Amino acid sequence: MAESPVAPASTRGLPEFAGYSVEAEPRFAGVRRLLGDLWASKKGTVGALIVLLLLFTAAFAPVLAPVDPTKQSPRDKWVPPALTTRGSWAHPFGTDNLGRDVLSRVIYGARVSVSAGFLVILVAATFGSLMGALAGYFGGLADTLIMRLVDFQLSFPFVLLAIIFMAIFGPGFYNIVIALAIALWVNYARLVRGETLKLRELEFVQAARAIGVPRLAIIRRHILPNVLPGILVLATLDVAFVIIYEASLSFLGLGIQPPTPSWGILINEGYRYLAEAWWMTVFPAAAIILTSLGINLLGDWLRDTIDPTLMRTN
Amino acid sequence: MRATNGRAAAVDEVVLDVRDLRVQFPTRRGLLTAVDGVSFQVRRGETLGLVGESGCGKTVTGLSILRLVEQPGRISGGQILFHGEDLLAKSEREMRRLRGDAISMIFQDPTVTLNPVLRISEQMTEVLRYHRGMRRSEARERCVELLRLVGIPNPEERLDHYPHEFSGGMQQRVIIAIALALEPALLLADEPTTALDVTVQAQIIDLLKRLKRERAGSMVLITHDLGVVAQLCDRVAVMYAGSIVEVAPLREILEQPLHPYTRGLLDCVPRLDTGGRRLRAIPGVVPDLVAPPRGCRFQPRCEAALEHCQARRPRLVEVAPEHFVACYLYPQVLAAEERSDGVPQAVHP
Repeated sequence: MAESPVAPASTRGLPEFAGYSVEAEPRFAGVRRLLGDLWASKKGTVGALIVLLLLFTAAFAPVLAPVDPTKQSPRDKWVPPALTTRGSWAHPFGTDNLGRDVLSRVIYGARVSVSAGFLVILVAATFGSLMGALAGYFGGLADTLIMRLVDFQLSFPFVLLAIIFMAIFGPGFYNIVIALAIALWVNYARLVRGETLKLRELEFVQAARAIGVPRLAIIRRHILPNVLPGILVLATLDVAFVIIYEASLSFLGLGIQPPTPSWGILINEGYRYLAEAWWMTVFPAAAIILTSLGINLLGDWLRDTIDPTLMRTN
Repeated sequence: MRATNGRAAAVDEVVLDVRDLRVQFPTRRGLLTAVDGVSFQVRRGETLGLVGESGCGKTVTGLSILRLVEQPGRISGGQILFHGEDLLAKSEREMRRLRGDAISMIFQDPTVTLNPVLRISEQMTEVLRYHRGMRRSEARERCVELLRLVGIPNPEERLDHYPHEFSGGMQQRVIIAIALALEPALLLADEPTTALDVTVQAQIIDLLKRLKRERAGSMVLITHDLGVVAQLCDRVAVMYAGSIVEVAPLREILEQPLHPYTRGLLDCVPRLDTGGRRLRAIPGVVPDLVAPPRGCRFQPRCEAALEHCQARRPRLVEVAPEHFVACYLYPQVLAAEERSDGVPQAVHP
């Protein structure tokens, strides 16, 4: 209980922190504690900075992009990036086969990729987790119905499923979000179902039942928060996948339509000219790598922080 | 409702009346009857000890009262009357209203009974919010009161902590506070001290003793520890292999145990008052409940077994005032059996 003046910032939840959180503004104190933790962790800080940069780029693309990303200029085609022999700072990432500025296109691409990535994961994780929790907790018929649906869907190749969906509903941003969410929810359903089966046998779930907590409240308050770290890890991995999946569908002409730059479209336009103009492919690819790295670092840190049972070990 | 001390209660009002309870679990080897014809009563303000070895069905009996026996386990017979109403006939919704309100339960291992990812405040207010619809701030105030009641220092501050920031003993205090939040008429305590250090055990027992004096509610204390029973209980029911073999007031159980199994149990406990007597183990092992022994369940391990013990299973009979025993060593048991012969029996071979 005593004050420990030398406590490092990472000793979360110790009394001196909790002392602030009585009644008046517990939420605020929680946020402060979380930010303190983030700063104390190298990977958390790096991940957060990358993700912030990404979000900032996506939000302020029109301000940040030096030129209109769709403006063609055949005279300037295939200008190499700055710092190379024929490169110029007029086009820091060079230009593509139609003379469009690659930097501007990458910056605008962040918009599409980020919003698709997060939206898909939000929908897939929410729906999948809910289904998984229901299947795992109630068992019986609910379990059979939900998990057979999952099995049925898993027996289809993902691309085929997406092609069918996009062929029926047509290309477009929201349709691609729905198609990808449909493809991905099964992962969350399976993860959460497995965890729920384990958790529902634990004593604290039984104890919650013993004090009369309604079943849906048990799922919401006792099961899901305990599965959250797992969902987060899966979600961070999946954000990167979604960006690639979206690119694949866009490449097949079923996703975002060409004038709009998404990183996937940039790569797919660029790979044909890989020998002549590597920068068309490398910069959007680097953007994808950096993004998934940042998201994964942040997710990793978040997992360690959000799960108090892991706190004891560090 | 005045706090009364067990047997001193003027009216022996029965709070809980378990009649011929049977709980079965299908296993690969066949149907396992974990609880087989258990009957007992708990009166208002009384603490009943439910004593027996591991696996004798005492925990399952406790869970049955709240109807929390997990699938594929099933309550396959009997009645559980709580204030005269049969809990087995109630809907799940009605049961949920009772759980944590009129009847609550304390579990064995406090370190796994609290949800690790929720703050203490969130877990404590749950019971108040779901049953009483209390607002957050109101529930919080009540929680502070409750934590103070169970002896947790700095309750306002501690409410914002996570379970792992509490010691085992403190966690058990929190759990007890949750169980008592709505002043249940009946508290089921399943081995509340077993998972704790000896010194902490003593503190929890003291706490339970104090609460027993201060509260009006009844308690069923499920334990294998006769020391705990001696400190807390008014009456004791001894369970063996899924059924109750002896029920008597605490003093009588300790001083004049009738059933050979009860005597065996008492002989396993070191005592200061009887001099340098050697401790004796009960020979043999607990029977297989898928295929229990013929007749009396204890008969294969019993030194005093008669021939008749293999033929039939003795019923619980009152052989002295308030003292029930199921053993053919007592002629009243045999006599009662002869009287009721021809009448279909509740007890099974």
